Amino acid sequence: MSMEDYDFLFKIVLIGNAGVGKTCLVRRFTQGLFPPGQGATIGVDFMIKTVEINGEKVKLQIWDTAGQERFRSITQSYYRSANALILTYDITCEESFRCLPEWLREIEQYASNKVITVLVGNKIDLAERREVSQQRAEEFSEAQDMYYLETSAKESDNVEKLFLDLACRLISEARQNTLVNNVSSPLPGEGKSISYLTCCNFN
Amino acid sequence: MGTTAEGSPTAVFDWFFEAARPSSLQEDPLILRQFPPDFRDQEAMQMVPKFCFPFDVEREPPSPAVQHFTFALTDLVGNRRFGFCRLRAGARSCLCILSHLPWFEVFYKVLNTVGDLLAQDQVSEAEETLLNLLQQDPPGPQATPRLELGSGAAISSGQGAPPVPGKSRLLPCFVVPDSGCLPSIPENRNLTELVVAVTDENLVGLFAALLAERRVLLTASKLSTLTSCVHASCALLYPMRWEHVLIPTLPPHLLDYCCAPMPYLIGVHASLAEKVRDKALEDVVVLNVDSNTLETPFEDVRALPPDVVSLLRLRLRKAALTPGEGVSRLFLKAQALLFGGYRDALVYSPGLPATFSEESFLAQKPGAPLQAFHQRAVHLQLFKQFIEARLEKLNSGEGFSDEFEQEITRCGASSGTLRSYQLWADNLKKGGGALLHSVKAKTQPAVKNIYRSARSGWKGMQSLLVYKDGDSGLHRGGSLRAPALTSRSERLQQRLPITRHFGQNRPLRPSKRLRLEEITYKPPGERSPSLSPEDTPGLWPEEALDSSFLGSGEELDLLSEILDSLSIETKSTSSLRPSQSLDCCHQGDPGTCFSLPHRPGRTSWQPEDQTELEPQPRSLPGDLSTLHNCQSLDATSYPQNPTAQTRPKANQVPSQFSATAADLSTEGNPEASPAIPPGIQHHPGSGLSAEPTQPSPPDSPQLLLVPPESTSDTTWTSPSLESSLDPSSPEDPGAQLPELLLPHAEEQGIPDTSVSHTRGGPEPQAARRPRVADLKKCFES
Repeated sequence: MSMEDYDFLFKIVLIGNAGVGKTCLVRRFTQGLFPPGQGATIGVDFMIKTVEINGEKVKLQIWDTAGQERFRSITQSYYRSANALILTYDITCEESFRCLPEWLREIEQYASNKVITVLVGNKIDLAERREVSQQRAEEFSEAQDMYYLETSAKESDNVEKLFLDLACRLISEARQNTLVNNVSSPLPGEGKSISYLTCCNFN
Repeated sequence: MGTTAEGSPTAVFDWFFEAARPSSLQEDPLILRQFPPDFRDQEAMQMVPKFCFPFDVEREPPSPAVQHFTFALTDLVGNRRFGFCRLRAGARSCLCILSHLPWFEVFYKVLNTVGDLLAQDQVSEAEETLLNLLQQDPPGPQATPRLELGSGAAISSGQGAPPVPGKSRLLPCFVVPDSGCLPSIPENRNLTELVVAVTDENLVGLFAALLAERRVLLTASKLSTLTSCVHASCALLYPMRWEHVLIPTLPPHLLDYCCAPMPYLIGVHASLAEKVRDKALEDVVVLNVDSNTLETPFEDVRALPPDVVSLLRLRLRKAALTPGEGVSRLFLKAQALLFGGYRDALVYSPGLPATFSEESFLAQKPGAPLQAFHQRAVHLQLFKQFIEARLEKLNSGEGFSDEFEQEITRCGASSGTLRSYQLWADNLKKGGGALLHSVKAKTQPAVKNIYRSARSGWKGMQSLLVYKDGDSGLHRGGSLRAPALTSRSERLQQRLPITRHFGQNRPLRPSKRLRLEEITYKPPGERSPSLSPEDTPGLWPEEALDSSFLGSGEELDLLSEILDSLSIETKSTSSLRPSQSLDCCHQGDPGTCFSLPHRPGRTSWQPEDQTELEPQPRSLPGDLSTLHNCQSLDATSYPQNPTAQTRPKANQVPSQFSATAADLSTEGNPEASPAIPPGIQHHPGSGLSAEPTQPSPPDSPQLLLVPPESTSDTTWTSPSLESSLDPSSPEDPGAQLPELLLPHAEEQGIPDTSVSHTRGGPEPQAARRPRVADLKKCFES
């Protein structure tokens, strides 16, 4: 991970209930490009994928921790150094959708500490067992000011798109942020104060 | 800190192996031997040995001496396992025990025993030891090893399986840590290493960084120091836990994990530190233990309320030099001051489960620095999980009277919602009765204390008054409690234990008075309601401490050094309940930091200014023949003898000791308290007989091994003593115990007490400095 082989490095953190397919999602995205989880023994794992967006190399580090299921909600301290959060639920599991507000509780409370949050409904390959309608999820994500996407880690549907869109959005945020930073730098480590002017196409 | 709640482990340990050091960073370590021999977990066999060499193997070995360290593994659901390692001299190979139980001292000792046997090619003996251990029942379901507060109160022995008839070979005996106790110096090895290695200012900085849930990197050139510091700093957070990534030693192949964006606490060996630094870490707090420098981009210390910071700064240096729970208690107090207000934010609605009101928590102390701290604290995972755990306990009827709660009461950090809690509990009781016992648990310590204090005279009365004041929730409006008052009350409270400490800590005890032949351990984990300093049978572990100091000349030295620098005013070991297990692990191993090559003998034992002392009988631990003689004596006749010598010598001692004896009589009844879960036979004697009291002359590791049939063990299980300690007859010993205790006074108590009383105040800094160096010396092996 030396500095020269990318233009941007972003750290993305996955959160969500147990069994929603977080790990699968990442593995699918980075398939064949990074050896699977060395970190399974230490309770934290990450994958790297480098994508190119408009000629710029963007390195994505996607982090996943073990045992977050025992948390009812993730507090700010967990993600304050992350550039983005991917909140995942299982479309075939109503319960995992109903837990979302808990997961988001900390995030919505303090807008100043907001990170880019993407809501992902996983397992669309199991459409016949769907318990959460797409419309419901979209309404929810809109209310929470989140980008929403449905994926299938199994079939690779939308997985690439998810990460590319995210990378795109992160770049624009980063640019925005450097502009903002020239005016007033945020407290070190207290999360980058990210503005929400979107320039990437998310649809 | 520690493991996440999980089902009780199925075995005391999972796997023992010896791995050879690979010659390059690319190679994997070879497994040279393992136990059980049929262990076949491929994933573990591939992944785990790499953790045994968490340094740059292509460079010089980290230390020519034997090193103990502990790595931690976290599985996919967050359960933690520990790898207790003994890196051989020159780091050629590493012995490792993989276990769910955070029994540092126990496993280090096991590793020493096994390592010594293997070094002598006694493989079958080594396996037998391991088999014995494996055959022990792991702690019961209520024993979640959640805390690394390793202190011992109960014993386990390698003799759980009946010794094979005809075999007289020595089998080792292991003391299971009691997680209900606060980590104590020097018994808790992790904490001791931490306070020796890290100066007080940086300790405060580290604590603040952990409390802010930063990404924290520790580096050190000594693996044992490194992992000890990691584990011990987690334990400072008690009753909170480090909820995030914890990697006490990061093996070279996982260095990239230092780039994690989420909070972590990672230890990196100095040989790998540069490589980590190259990874462009951002916003990481780095504590270099070797150079004792803390680099942080944050101002976490400033984010703590100033009164808490000054409390820590003021007391830490002294506490770190004092044997016992001082340091743990100090941080516990800090935690109580910081978070104690949570109790006032609990909402008890009749008939409903208790809840926590964040609003009312944040509304406390408006305008005060504490309020600002609380505003950040509610976004900490450790606080969230803490509240959840408390509510869970409360609503399941377990109650929550533990050390932390008592500390809150003591320092007035809560205005005392005891009353509303009680009403709510009563209400609940009408419905189910589940909570009644926790209410009792709250009142019990006070009652006990009154009883004891009444018998322990003037000083006891003082502490009684203060304690009553503290416990009955009279400090309404916590903010009104002036700090001065708090500290005064604390001082007063500490008087009693100090007396006991001086009186009893030093003496040479008849070793192993009450050794249990069978393994009985108090399960670690759930902190039971009885853990008030007052109603824990504090005396037993003190006894054990004494003898633990008999273990090696160096330990004795350490104690006397520390005692010298003790001042009554600031001594904060309100009860000494040390673990009994550590002694074993340092004694046996010439390579560990605790053991010393030479035995200074008695001289080191005596305070420097001997002129102040009365001549003392040459019966101190250096003299092992005395020890053995004592043991062969009839238990009942033994006490008489020294008593006769003592009385003419120092008049103040008997009174002190009779007071103590009174304590003993009340304390000797732990089963009366709700602390001991029913079904767990924590015989009071088991505490007493805790393993360090075994006759273990300092110079040979072999002596740690206790012959199962050793008659000297049972000699001291004298009928009179046992009956006097029998919980069923707590009043009984009144007449006998003073006599039983006097010998100790005669042997060691007098000089110490006189010194402490004449000196009183703290020593000048200059005088103390060399001692720190001495203390430190014993960690540099």
